[in-house]
Amino acid sequence: MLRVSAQTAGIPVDLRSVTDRAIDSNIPAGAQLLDFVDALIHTHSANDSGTIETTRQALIETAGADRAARAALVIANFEMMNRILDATGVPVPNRMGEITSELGLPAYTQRH
Amino acid sequence: MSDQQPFSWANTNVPVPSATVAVVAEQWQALAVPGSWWTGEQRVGIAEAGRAAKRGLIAPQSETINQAARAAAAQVAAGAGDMTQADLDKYATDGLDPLSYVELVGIVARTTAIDTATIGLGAELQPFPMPIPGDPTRPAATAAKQRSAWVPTVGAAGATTALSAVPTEDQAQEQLHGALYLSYHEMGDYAIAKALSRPQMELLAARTSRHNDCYF
Repeated sequence: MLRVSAQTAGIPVDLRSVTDRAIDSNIPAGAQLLDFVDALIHTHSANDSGTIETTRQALIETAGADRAARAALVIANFEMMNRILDATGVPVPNRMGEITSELGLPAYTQRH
Repeated sequence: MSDQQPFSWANTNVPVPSATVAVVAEQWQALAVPGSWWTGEQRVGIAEAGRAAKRGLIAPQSETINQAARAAAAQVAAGAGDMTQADLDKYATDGLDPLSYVELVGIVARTTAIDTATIGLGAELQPFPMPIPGDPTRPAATAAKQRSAWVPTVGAAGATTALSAVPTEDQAQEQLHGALYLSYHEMGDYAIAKALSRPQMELLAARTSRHNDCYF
């Protein structure tokens, strides 16, 4: 969906930016969004939130407070969906096999 | 374990749409209501076990859920990307039947989502709601069948049917998905924007999935 939505928006997205932070995604505020994900996934509570506060503030300054709020919500949604899909063993669609190499990921092996 | 404080995302420095807050608050309270296969007290116990595993907290020594449920909640919260069919077989052998497991997955996944959003917005983790007394509804029949997933589903197994064997969990997933990100219908619109552009949302989605070793 990243590739299709970027194509729709006329953005030459580099999918490898999802796995390699040295590569620019070409998406507006992409670096700040990725910094925010990386911090939020590894923050356990509001009490150990030095990095999350820094990255949230950087995102607010770059993109605005409403976008920072939506970013937290979207990340939260995929924290939910990833667990549901992985814990129920829903098979990964075949098309994902083609995208994994573009992302720089090892080939997916069905865990069934 | 719980107190009567209402759910609140006050004291954040970023604005959250009121409709989103309403859905999240409703779902938070629903964690403590008797479900299809677990009591309200057990549902809160499952949510607590999942939060403890995900957030590196000391797990409560609650007697409301058995060891299999406690272990499953911890694994779904903190190690779902490494799960295999053998893990589910072990939980089943230890007394966790497939439909109870599906409800457990929904509880843990939504708790993780709401906790993540809470921290991302700069608020404190919410206390769990007080359990509502009562028995699970234990629906007499389900249209779900064993198909290509590890759990039964209604129709082909996919992202929108993973929890369909327990309709209340399936509906809660869809509702929260729509409040946090996009409704299932909106997902077909690649030009949609909700504060963030669609490519910005998908960049976040892809990176989150990368962290979780999830290939979807």
